[in-house]
Parts: sequence; structure tokens; C-alpha cells
Amino acid sequence: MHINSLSSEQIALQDAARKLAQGEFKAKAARWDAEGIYPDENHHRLAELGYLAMAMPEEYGGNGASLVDIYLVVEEIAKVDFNTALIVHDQNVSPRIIATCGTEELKQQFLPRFAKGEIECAISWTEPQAGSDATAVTTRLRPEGDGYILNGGKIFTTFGDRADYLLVYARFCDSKGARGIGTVLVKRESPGVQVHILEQKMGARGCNECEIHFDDVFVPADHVVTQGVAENSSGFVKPLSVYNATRVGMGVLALGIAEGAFDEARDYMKTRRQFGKSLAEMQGLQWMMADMRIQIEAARALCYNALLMIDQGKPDPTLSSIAKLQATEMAQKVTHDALQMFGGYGYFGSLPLERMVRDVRMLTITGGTTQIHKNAIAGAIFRD
Amino acid sequence: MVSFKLDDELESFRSEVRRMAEGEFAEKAAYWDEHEEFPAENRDKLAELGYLGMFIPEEYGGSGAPVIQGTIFLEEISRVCFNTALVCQLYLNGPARAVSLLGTDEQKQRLLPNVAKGKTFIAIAISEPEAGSAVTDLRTTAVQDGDGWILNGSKCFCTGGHVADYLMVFARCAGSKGARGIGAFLVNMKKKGASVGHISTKMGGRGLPEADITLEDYRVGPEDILLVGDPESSKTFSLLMSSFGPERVGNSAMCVGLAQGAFDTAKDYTEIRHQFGRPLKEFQGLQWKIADMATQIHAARLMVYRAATNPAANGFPDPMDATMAKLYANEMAQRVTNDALQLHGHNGYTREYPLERMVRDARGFALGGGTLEILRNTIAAMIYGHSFNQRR
Repeated sequence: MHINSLSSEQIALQDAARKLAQGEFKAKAARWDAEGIYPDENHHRLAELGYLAMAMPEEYGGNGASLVDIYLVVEEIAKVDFNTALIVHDQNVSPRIIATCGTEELKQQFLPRFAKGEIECAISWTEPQAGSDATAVTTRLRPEGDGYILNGGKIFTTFGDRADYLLVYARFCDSKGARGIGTVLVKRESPGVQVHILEQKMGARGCNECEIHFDDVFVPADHVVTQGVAENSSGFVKPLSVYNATRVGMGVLALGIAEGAFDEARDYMKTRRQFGKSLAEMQGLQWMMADMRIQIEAARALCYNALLMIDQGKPDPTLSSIAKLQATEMAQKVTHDALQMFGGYGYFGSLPLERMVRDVRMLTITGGTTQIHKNAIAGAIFRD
Repeated sequence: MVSFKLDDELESFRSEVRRMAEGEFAEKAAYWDEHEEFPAENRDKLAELGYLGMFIPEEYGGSGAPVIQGTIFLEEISRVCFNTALVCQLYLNGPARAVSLLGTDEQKQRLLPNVAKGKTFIAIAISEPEAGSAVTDLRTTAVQDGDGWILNGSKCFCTGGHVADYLMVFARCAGSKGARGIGAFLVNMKKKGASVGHISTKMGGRGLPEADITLEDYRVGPEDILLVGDPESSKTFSLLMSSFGPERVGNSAMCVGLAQGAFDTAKDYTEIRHQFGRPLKEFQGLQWKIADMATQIHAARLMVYRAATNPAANGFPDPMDATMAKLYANEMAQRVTNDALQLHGHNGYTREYPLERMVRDARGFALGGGTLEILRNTIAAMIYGHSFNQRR
């Protein structure tokens, strides 16, 4: 497949998402950022139109859409509204982990409700001392009765304040590193769960990051998604394979923001006149735009290629890392350059550029920092 | 003899400013950003200590310090509190400097001692909606009216204009075109005909928002004429622009300071933050990043100090030195603050750390006081010995 040879169904899907994004989401995008509020009405609209059920298999009420399809939608929305694009992307994080790794019973219980938009789930993995060092998790489960007792603390849980369930990475036994880590679903309203919304951040301000404390929280045995065992790291590694897609998804989110910023710059340059001609007629600026376009196309090809490989059952973690890294670094540069085209106006909150620069800054950090992906890529280079 | 080392006096001046900045301004640095508030109390403190009059001649209530000293001052303030540095930059290198270079003795007597005391704040109004980089397209007109001039027009990007007592306004004699006929006038914001319009929220530098200014039949009395433009020549405009040479040096110094502040924060963090069982500083990839950051800061600092100590024949900073310093320092500050944020991981993205603010603050340098692109035009023109017609 070549990303410029989409099927007619995919083109229709992309057109519909573009119309929704440009027609409904664009005008409101500044509000979620300025007021720091979750785009609830967009969430309902997305649920109503079926965009939140794309990742779920058909037998559980979803559309069973491919990752390529889902991210064609995410890309269109990210062009105008990063906070809302994150909502569509998010179904490929925890729900997809449940769909891939969970028991039949768990899937029956949760997936149809995700598909209908009835419940939401946030991933709760990072801890204050376990950031890039992701297997340094100390949150603990200890068996009790027909379940477990959970104790520990998490940080940077996106949507932790509104999610009905948290997908928590925790240790099932005394173990070190990836061994013994597994994942469980924890109802946010369970006794012993405390959620604290973290101080505001640079961008993605419609989506709260939370600190979460678990104090003797009971987790029923049937809420285990992947069992952690002392002998191996299967409980940790299985959800990670799903996370490959999430990472590339971060790349597509970045790609969308970059394209949105690029489009804004291109339109502005046609109308803004200085020195008696439009900015579009100035060679130095033309070359900047050409460089931006080249970087966008390269990232786009990398991201969709990586997604397609996952869709075809041949996920390549190295190519996923490369796509994520390249697209998120690219998007930082491109949004900066797009802002530059607006001169001083680009620095103002009345235009979307400064918001785009702030939003995109998150993406070289979250989903594995650029440095962690370089470790992974270097590891693959020297593995043989 | 060539020496790139600061003498002991300047080094001890640096220590003194650093101590003061850390003691007085660090704690509230986030406050001005978050509340979008002009740091008036810091301005008052600095005035009291005599820093705001550094570049004002002694006979007008200042201390007549050399450019290099003001450069070090701005660098150290910016390292701790960017919004306060921005205020200082306007006091030191803004219109007050133009007044002390180009004004009449009466204007200097009347204005400069109060600037030094922090009582009079003069902001600058050059840009217009249709005249940004193409500054000589400005349309605000000055029409002679007896011994004064009547101004009409709209200005934008007037940094801190909403709290200014005076504006230094660029306006052209009616009928003139391009750089010819452009002059500068002082506008008293309390007088009839001058009003503040929209005040824009910005990404960074939020303690000093950008104001739109409207001048409607504003009458400049003879006492507030700074330089009347000559419709037949662009000399007045060139003179005005060269009086902004020190502004570029100050801008670059703030970049160095801001980058140094972000660097210092990141260096400390990489020493205490542990991942994979060791401090971040033990990772070679991060060591190299820190090394690159330090090298870039060092290079920018040398360029700025050279621009501050190597004046051209007219006494202003050498234009090539000053322009190159701003271009390099502007881009350096963006890269270094951004890398410092990255070294903090997700913590860097939150407002519990200063990095995200520093990145937002740094972004404005490349836009204000001449965009990077205009600086490149200027450098290319100096390389080829003639300016290029941007209208072709």
C-alpha cells in the first residue's frame, strides 16, 4: 500500500473526518486550551458518529477498523484540534490492550461499553521514579480472597480524573524489572483510589494529567488483564506489543498538528503582503515551506508504513520507534517554522500557531521519549 | 591586545546582580507569567537600586555605564526572571536610550531622571498591521500644525503599551514614501487622541502583553518632537534605526541569560534524577546533549560580548556583530531551552517546573526586534555591500 493510494472507502472516511474537523471542531479548538476544559461535546459527537468504536472488534459492537483507517481520522482531527484528536487516539490505548490481551469474559464485559462510549479507561503506568525506566514500577498487588489488594502511586495518568476505569501496571509478586509486572483494571470510584489533578501544563490543556494513589484498593480477580508472573515478563510484554500502535499513533497526532500548522501558514502567506508582495513570493520563505513539506511527507510515509505492518500482523517495533521519533521531532520543527511565517502575530493566542507549538511539545516526551526510542533503535542495530 | 576575559570589576558586578536576581526575583518569576501581570514591584526595586538608569548619562540621573555592563545585567536578570528582564530591556535599550542619544537637552532633563527612577515608562510603537517586517511601509502620518505635529494612525505590537506613560512613535510626513520622511515623536498617553486598543495574550513574555494603539488627531507639542523625518531623505530613519543597535545586543544578552537559566536547571536535574538505577548525567547521550547546549551558549555569549565591546565608528554597536549575535542567540535560546525541557521528561511539560515557561518565553526573540528572516536579509546586504530590493 502507498498512503497516496487509499481505497475509495478510506478516502470517504478521510473526507468525512475532515468535514467534521474543519466544520465543527476547528472553531472551538482554542476554547479547550484557554479554559483548560475537556471537549465533552466533541466527545459525544464522536461517540454518536461511531468514531470511538473503530478499534473494537465487530463481535463486541465495534467496527473492527484497521489502524490505518483510525489514524486517517486522528490525523484529520489533529490538524485543527489536538485535544479532540487525543480522544479518538485513546481507544487504541487501554481498550485495545483489553481487546488483545483480556479474557473472553473481560472483553464481553467491557468492549461493548467502550464501543458505545459509555465508559472510558485511562492508562496508569508511569510512577514518579519510573518514567523512562518503565519497568521500575513499584505499585504492588497482593492476593486476597477472590482478588488482590492494590497499593502504590502513579503520575501523569492522562484523563485519570474522568476515566471510569484505570488500566494499572503493577507487580504481582516480589520481582525486579519486567518480570512479575502485569496489568489490572481498577474502577476509579473504588474505595482507596485518590485522584489529584496535576498543575496545568504547557499544552494539551484540555486533557488533565493526574497523580493517583491506591491505598488498599480491592481488585477482583476477573479484572486482571495480563497476569504478572515471577518467571517471565509476559504480563508486561503482551500489552507492550499493543503499545507499538499507540506510539505510532503519537507520531500521527504530531503529523496532523504539523500539517494543520503548515496549512495555516500556506494560506496566510498567500494573503499577507510585505514589501509590496505576498510572503508566498519570497524565495527564502518558499524554501522553508518546501523543507517543511518534505519533512511532513517523510514522516507520513514512516507512520503509515509502520501502522500498515501492524495491521498486516507483522509489527516491527524498530520501525514503530523510528516513525514515532521522526514524526514527533519533525512536527516540533514544522510547527515552529509555521509560527515564524506569521511574524509577531504567530506569538498571539488569537491564532492557533502558538497553541500548536505548545501542544506538539508533549509528543517527544510521552509514549517513550525520543531518547528512549533512540535506545530501542540502537539496541536493534547492534542486536545481531 | 585581544582579550575575551571580563575584568574583575565586571565579574563582581555579575555576582552582585546574580545574587540580587536569585534573592529577589526567582520566587515570583512564574507569577508574572501566570497572571499576565507587569512586574511593577521588580521595576521599582531595580530603580531604587539604580539599575534602570545604567545607560542614562550621569548628568541626567543615570550612571552612564558601558554597554558591556548592561549586557551582563540583562543576561543575569533574564537567567532568573524573563519578564523582569524584558522590562529592563525597555528601560535600558528602548526609547530612553534614543532620547538620550537624539533628544534635546530639555527632553533629557524632563524625562531621563524619571526613567532612571522608574517613574516614567516609555514604550515603543513602530509596527503596524500592514508594516511588520516591511517597517518602512508604515502609514502613521505626521502633519505639521504650527509649532507641533498632528499624528494619525494605528500601531500594534507595542510591548507594555498598556502601562506606558509615553510612547515613542514612528510616523511619516504626509506624502512621503518608504524610508524617506519617517521620524519619531513622543506621545504622552494621558493626553487626548492616544488610546490603547486590544491587548493581546501571548505565548510567552506574558508579563508584558502587546497593545494596539490608536492615534487620532493626537497633537505633539514642540517639546515632544524627537526627530522630524525629512521627506527627501532616509537619513532620519537610518539614524533612528542605528540607535536601536544596542537593543539587539540587549535582546541577545537576554537569550544567553534565559538559555543559561534553563541549562543550569537541567544540569541540576540530571544530577539528582535517577532512572535505570543511575543519575541521568551518567548517560552518555545526555552528557553529549548537555555538552552541545553549553557550547552553543558559550558561542552566543562570545558573540554578544563582542557586539557589546566593539563599536563602529558612530559609537553604536557594529551592525554586523549585533545582527549576527541576535540571529545566533535567538535560535540558540530556542534550541537550548527546548533541550533543557526534554531533559526533564514529562516534568518539563508541567508548570511545576520553569522549563515550559522558558521555552514559551524564548520563542518570542525570533519574532520581535527584527525577525530571523529580516536579520538574514540585513546580514546578506552587509556581505554583498548593498541592500537587496525586497520588492522585486
